[in-house]
Amino acid sequence: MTNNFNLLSEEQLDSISSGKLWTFHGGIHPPENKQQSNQFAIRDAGIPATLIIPVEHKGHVPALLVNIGDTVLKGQPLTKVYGAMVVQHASSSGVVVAIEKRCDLHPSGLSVLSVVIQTDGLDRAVEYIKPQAFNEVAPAILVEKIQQAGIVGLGGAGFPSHLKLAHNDGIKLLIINAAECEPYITADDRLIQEQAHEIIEGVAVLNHILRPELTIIAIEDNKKEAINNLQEALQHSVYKDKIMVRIIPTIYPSGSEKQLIEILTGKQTPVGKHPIELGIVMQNIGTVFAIKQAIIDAKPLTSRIVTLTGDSLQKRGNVSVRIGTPIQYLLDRYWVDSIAVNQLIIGGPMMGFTIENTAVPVTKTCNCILAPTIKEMPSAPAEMPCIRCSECADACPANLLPQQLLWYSQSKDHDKLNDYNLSACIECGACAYVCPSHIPLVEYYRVAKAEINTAKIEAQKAETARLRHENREARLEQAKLDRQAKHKAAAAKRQAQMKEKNGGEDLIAAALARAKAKKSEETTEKPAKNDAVAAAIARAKAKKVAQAENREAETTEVDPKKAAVAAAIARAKAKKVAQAENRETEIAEVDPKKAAVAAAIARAKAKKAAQAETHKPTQTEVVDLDPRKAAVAAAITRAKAKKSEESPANETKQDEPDNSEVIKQRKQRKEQARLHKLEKAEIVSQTKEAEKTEPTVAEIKKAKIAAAVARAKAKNSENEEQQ
Amino acid sequence: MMTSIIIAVLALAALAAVFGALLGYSSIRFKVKADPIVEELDAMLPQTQCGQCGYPGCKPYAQAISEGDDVNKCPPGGDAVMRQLAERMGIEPQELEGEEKPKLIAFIREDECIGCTKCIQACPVDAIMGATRQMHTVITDECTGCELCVAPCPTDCIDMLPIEITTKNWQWNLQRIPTQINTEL
Repeated sequence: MTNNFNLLSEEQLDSISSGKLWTFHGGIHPPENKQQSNQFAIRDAGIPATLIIPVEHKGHVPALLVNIGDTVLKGQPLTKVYGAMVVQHASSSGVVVAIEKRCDLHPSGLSVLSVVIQTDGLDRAVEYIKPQAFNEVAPAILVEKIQQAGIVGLGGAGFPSHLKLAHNDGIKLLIINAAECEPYITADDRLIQEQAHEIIEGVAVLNHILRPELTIIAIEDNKKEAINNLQEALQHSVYKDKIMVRIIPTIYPSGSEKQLIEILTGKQTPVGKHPIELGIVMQNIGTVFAIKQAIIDAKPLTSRIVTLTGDSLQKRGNVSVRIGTPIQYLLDRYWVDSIAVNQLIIGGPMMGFTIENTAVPVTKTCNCILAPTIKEMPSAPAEMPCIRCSECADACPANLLPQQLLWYSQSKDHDKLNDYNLSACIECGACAYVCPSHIPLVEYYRVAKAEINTAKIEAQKAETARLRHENREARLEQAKLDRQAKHKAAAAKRQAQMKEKNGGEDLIAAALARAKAKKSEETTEKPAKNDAVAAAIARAKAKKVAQAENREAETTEVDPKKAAVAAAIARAKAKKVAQAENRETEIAEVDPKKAAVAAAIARAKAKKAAQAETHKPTQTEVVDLDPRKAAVAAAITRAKAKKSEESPANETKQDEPDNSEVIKQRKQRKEQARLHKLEKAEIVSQTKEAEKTEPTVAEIKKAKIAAAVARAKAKNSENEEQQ
Repeated sequence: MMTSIIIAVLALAALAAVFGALLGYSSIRFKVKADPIVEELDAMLPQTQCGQCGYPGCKPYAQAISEGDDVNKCPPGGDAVMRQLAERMGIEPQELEGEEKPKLIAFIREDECIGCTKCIQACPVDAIMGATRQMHTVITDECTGCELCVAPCPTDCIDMLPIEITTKNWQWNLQRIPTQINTEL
């Protein structure tokens, strides 16, 4: 924690103890306005009807020890805490009526979880047991007690005191801050005037905890009475050799931690470091008093001194206010002139903030309530552009360049703001006080600081989100691999087990091999199956054709005689055809090639007809009657078979052929019907002639021509199908 | 004459060999492993891992930008991130695709949760806690507001809520809440 490089040296400590004082850069001398309130003794503000005690600490909610309806005593702890939080206590006796979000004393006016106590006016306190003498108790236990007593820095920032005291090795210098440089505020001044002895005792407690080489109480020279009282108390104290009072010149902001260190030691606290790295701890004098009460009297922090001042208040002065007292209660009690009051400022005029809701409670950090009149504190004149006069840079106690910070705050250039050490700004308001353009510089810095803080938090969150996302991706990938490995291992194990069980034979492998063999068999069988299907389809088609023919035959059967004649004619025709063919071959002798082709065709046809006959035995007669027709049908079936063979994969599709196939089939059927009609007409004409006489030569010729035509047609249709 | 030429050639050859060896060594010794621009772009992105850009996360999008994809596909990052990306890539800023919304975080209405773990599987940053048939809840600090958990929920019990303003994340005056002014004053 402590860095030896920065620690105060023995030489420096010697020069510090010799009474030498340094100065810090800049600083201002605003009107003090302290005499309005420091003339009156501290009074008790009384017990308000309700106390609102905020228990949240920077968004952290501690565990509550009370419930609604519980009776509480003064000094009873309300919360159980850890880490940076401190215990909150009931500041008077009464009943807890609500635990809910109430408006807090904060510039945001946001609500925080608060315990609301309806007071009974009796102010009964828990029994305070006088503890062991503090110098017999280990420092760590005292620090724990300070946390349990709910003590935070009472100077205004509210930094938890136990955190400052936790690191107690290598402390060179303990500074008790009684500078109270802010105008109007006299709470510490009055406290020292009235409780100097107790404060010295409190310093002794801190000395015991921290064991510093030097202890200094720093006080501004404008508090004459307080200085006298303090020195007198010290003279009568057993600690007078260990503690020294240092009177420092009045300049704002001498009460700021880093500036006071510079005044007393001449050393600047490096940016981003804490005074503890120099071996210095600083505590506010009000805090010291609270520590004394907690350690020596065992009384937790339940009230604090608040300066009530400003021209709007009829009664001014310092009052001891119970934590949680609504501000409106104080305003009523100290006769606020509700017409004259301009604004309500919590804290001093330099660093305080205004509030609009007067129902908010007094908290541990509230050292002053300032209710000025409009005459006393007129509203700020209109802001004008920066003229770069550098008055602010001259006044800045932190050695910053406020005009540059303003520039970069307005342009939201966070990198540049960091370069110019915005974080070192103590928000003392000296720059805004001297600004001739009335620029509220500190407001800009506060906004910029909050923005930088938010950006930092966002960046951190983004980084964690990225890491979490990457970790998740890695985990999912790993899980996937693990699963695969597991499955593999399980499979191997199963296999091994199976092998063991079946005497070294791999059943699964065998089964797989069998299945594979079966599959390959199936694939070889498949074409056969396809053929069977095609044959079945062909059969079905042939049947259809036969049916159609039968129907036609039926129509002819109406006249049995006619049918008989037709049969006879058909026979005759077949004979004739045969004759004609013979004749044709004779003719074809002239052209042997042509004849050969014709013969081949005839042979093919006969073959086809024979095939068709085997498929449709019921139709034998019809086929016999007309071999050509049969040939056509056979061709169709052949074509179909071919098609079905071409697409063996879509077996299912064969049941419901697509449109093109349907169209083709329809065309074929039409063609068939046309041929059939032609045939029929021929038969009829031939029957008529057969009834009369024996067929003449002319008739034979005619029949021959007709047969040739039919053949040509059949050929045509065959060609079409092949295409 | 001839000897001087030979000496010059030899000297140059020796120098070339020396520097070649030096370069070869430094190329191994000071090797840059990954493409640093992807890391840089990834660092600019808001890491919501919401997939609104069309990539499965912020890093794949950073990779895509480095390979020439548009810089305007990140609504959670908004205009500011788009400008940063454009500046880094040396291109003109483009109009943001999609709407820039204030950041929300997921909240599970715990009474209605049936413990199906679907949201847990959807969450890209493991910000949802729970187990099968046990109530789930969102770890508020880890939620990036990507809304990926909202759609898979079979009972529609996930709400996207604005982040609560506390004294911790309050911005000076930027979000000042008007409080009631006491008329008695």
